[in-house]
Amino acid sequence: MSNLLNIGSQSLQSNTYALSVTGQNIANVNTAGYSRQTVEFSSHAALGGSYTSLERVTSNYLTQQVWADQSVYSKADSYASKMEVLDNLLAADGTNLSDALDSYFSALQNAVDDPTSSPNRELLLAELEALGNSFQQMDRLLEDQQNLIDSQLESSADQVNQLAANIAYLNGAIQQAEAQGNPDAALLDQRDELVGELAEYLDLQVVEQGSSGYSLYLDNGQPLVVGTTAGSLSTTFDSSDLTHTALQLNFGGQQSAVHDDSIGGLIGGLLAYRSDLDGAQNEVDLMALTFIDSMNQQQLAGMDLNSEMGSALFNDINSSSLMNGRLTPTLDNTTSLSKGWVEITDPSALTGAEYELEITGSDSFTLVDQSSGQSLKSSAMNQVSSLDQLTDGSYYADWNSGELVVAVDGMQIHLEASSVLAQGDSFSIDPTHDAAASMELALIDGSQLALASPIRVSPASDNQGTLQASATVTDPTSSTFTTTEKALSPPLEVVFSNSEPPTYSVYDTSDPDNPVPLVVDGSPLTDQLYSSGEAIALNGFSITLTGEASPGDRISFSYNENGVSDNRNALAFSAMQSEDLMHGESWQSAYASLIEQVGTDTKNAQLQSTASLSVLQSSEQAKASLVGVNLDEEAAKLVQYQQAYQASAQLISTSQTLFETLLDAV
Amino acid sequence: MRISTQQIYSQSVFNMQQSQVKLAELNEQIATGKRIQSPSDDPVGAAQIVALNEELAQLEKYESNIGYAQNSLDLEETVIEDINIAMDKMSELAVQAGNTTLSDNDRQSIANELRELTEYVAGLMNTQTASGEYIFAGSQGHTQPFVQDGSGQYQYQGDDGQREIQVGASYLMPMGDAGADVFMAVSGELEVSLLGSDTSHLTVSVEDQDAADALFNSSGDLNLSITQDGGGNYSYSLLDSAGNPLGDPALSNIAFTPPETLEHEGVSLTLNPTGPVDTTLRAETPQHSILDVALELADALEQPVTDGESQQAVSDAVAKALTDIDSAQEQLLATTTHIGARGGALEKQLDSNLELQLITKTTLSSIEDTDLTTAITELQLEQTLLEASQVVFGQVTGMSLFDYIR
Repeated sequence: MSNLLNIGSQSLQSNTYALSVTGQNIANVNTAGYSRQTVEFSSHAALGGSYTSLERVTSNYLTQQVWADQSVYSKADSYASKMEVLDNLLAADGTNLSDALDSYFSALQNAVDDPTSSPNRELLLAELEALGNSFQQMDRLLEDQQNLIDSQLESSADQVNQLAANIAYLNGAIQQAEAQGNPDAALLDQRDELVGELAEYLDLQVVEQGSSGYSLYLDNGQPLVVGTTAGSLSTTFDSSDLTHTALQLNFGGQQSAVHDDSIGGLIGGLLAYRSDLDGAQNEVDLMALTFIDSMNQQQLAGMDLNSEMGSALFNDINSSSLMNGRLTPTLDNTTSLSKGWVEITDPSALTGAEYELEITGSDSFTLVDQSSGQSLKSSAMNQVSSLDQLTDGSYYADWNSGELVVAVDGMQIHLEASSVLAQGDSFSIDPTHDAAASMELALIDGSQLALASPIRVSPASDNQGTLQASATVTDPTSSTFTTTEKALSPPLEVVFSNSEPPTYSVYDTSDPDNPVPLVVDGSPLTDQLYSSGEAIALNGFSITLTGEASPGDRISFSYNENGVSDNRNALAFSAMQSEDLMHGESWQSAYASLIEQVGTDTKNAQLQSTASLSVLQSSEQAKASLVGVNLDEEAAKLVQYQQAYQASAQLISTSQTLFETLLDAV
Repeated sequence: MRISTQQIYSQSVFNMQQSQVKLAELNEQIATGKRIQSPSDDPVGAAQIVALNEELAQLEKYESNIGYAQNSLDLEETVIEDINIAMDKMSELAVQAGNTTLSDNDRQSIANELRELTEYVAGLMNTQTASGEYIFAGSQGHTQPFVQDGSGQYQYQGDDGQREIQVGASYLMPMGDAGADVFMAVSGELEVSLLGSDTSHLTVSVEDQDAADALFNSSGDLNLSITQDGGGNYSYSLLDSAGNPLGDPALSNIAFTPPETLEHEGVSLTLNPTGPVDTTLRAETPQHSILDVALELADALEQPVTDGESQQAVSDAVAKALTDIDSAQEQLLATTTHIGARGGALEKQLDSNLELQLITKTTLSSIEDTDLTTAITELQLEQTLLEASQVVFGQVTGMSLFDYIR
């Protein structure tokens, strides 16, 4: 048994140390990531007195849980907060495309009411321009979002790189301190804190590998930090979509692509948002493309205020720059294309999806629909022997000279290479690429708006029956019905006979004194059985007769020269508002669906963000309740150690008194 | 269970923040009056709002279209009424001119008055809107519809076009009427024309208007074919538009020697062919306007009456004019009735349009607008919660063991 003095001074030291640890805890009550420390007292039988050892209170399990939950929450939170932007963008008062369409259709009605009015026409033109601007503005706003994603990916990669480097450095520092027998709890806390920060950016697997410290791997096993070596993320072009930034991981001189679905964290949230944004952009582009084309076709089918056939309202959807922009060869292709383009043949058949065309052999290819994931093999398609036989679902190929044309979903994909198309090469196809951005008005004068029908219908004034007729242009592109300016070629007359049931004959009245039967597709249209309401196909247009016909009743059809008050084509423009011109929906209902879709996704993202936040909070609580400092607890310890200190001091004092007593006794 | 001091603070702060977020949302809902601030607040509702706003914009546009249609119908009706009054006056003048005691001078002054009235009516028929569109020109609104030609007759220059205006989702209302339908109501005499490559060796005339009219109304265009056999002998056939020979016995392959005159149902044909002929006989009844009638009467009145014959000519002209004015006025009446019917339909359409607008607005409001009672109740509840959190925070953080250690 050691003497009282020794025990006292030993105890005094132990409690002083305990008091300093308590002080350290109190000092770090607000330090993020600080794990509280406790002092373990033990008695020493041989030497007497108490000895202390320092404990860092921590739980590996709880810490790992917090990191994992952090990644999940960061992803949900970054996705949700981004989606909220898109959500607001689509429906906000200034940018809502449905409102812009309402405003256009309303101005159109003014022109329907009075097509002769120049102010009405100019207003309509201005509204069309404003509509084009709305589409362009929406396109720019969505593109800004894409750019924001790209720059955030870049800055996130920088952050990740810095954190990874710091963690690798701390791995080394901790290893060194331990080797010197001088473990430093602060370094451990710091490293945990950095891993926590890193987990905000991406989903991590943390493996503690003995003395070499933490090794960090991405969710799919790609290493980011191993011991003192840190990898780095860098940004590059997406090989299949050059407009997108992709991430690649560099570790030990090796580069590998990071796949969108495995990354998680804030970066994963950004990438998830990008796919929603792509979908919205495609939908807006498809809306623009179908709008432009429908307007152009209707305009071509009509007649303007100067009695001329209408010309396109907007720039053509199949301009060479737009067609070329829809096809992008993948970066690592071996074939060099001399030409490659995508022509839209039927906008209403477009689905809004993007595609990837891959050459799978010397005479085969596969077309993959990126949004549904469905693939279409060339073996399942019909091969035709000439370009003009192409219909949806068939292809034309001259494999030896490297020419391939695929017709599918309302478009034709053209590839022309200088030699054969190499197996394994692929091409990404975005049929609606740049459509909204290209929405430029091609007309400058309101009088050029083709609000009238080019075909005048004139029933004879002495008709006995109730016959009425309408005419519809069926071939606006080549307008075969008016090869001579301001004339129907040829002018026609429908004459009824007294047959029972009634029949009619269609005459070419180029010479009014000598009408001759009109020949359509090789057969003269004489003595045709009349059926009210049935469309009769003629040269580039069709006529529909309704009502009851009496013998000798006649209706003539001529070019509608000077027909300035006619609004039949304007009514056709107006009717488009409710027509299903965009993948089976009207424009505004498609837009409403988009708003609903994005709204639902946003709402779900918000719910998920809230849910994952509570999960994160509860694991943080669990960890904090174990490792966090409680001031009342520390206050109690302060009193406890202080009293022990006083008692120890009393031991020394007692020992002194005893010694003095002894001296006095001598 | 232990709790760290940081937790006490962060937990309280988090809860208070959540309360404040909720308060801010409620505040915005109340301040803007809109329940849905962004589509994610209610995605289905947001999509409905788009559709309802579209519908509302259309309904509002239809409403203004109805107003426009009503205005133009009003204008048309006024003009037609004025023309009708002028026709009454013409009718009066015609009756007056029929008085045999009048002198040439009297008739001349009536004729003058008729000519002035004609000009007045022509002006009305050529009425333009404020924007310069001729309202009775059919589709050719920039073309003056009634123009006097070299012979002094008024020709209709417009067409039959009739503009339709959208007054309902699937309801197009014809706006206005073409001058051809309103004013070209006086039928002239039936004329038969010959159509074909060479009709120079044939002539046709109408001997009996009524019989010919009946013939063409029942048979349509007729076909006359003249054939020549090997010996140069001619024969003709007269067929109806269905290809059946006319007449009883049938006028089919009737041999003749040119020149030959053929009479059938008031139509007289002379055939003097120099080879085979295939021709179509078409009957047309030209329509005239009241303007021509008035001018014709004026012309007749300006002829001096010297004997019984010229007196008879005046009486005949007056009688014809009165009949013609009558049929022209009948047509005007028909048009006015038609306008009235359209006006009535527009009224009904307007009523249902306004009702639909109300329903749409109500639906829109029920989806889009904040329910103030609920929102304010929620606001108060949230306020109470926040205040409670604040009080608790103050009390919990106010407690410290350090306060008791002396």
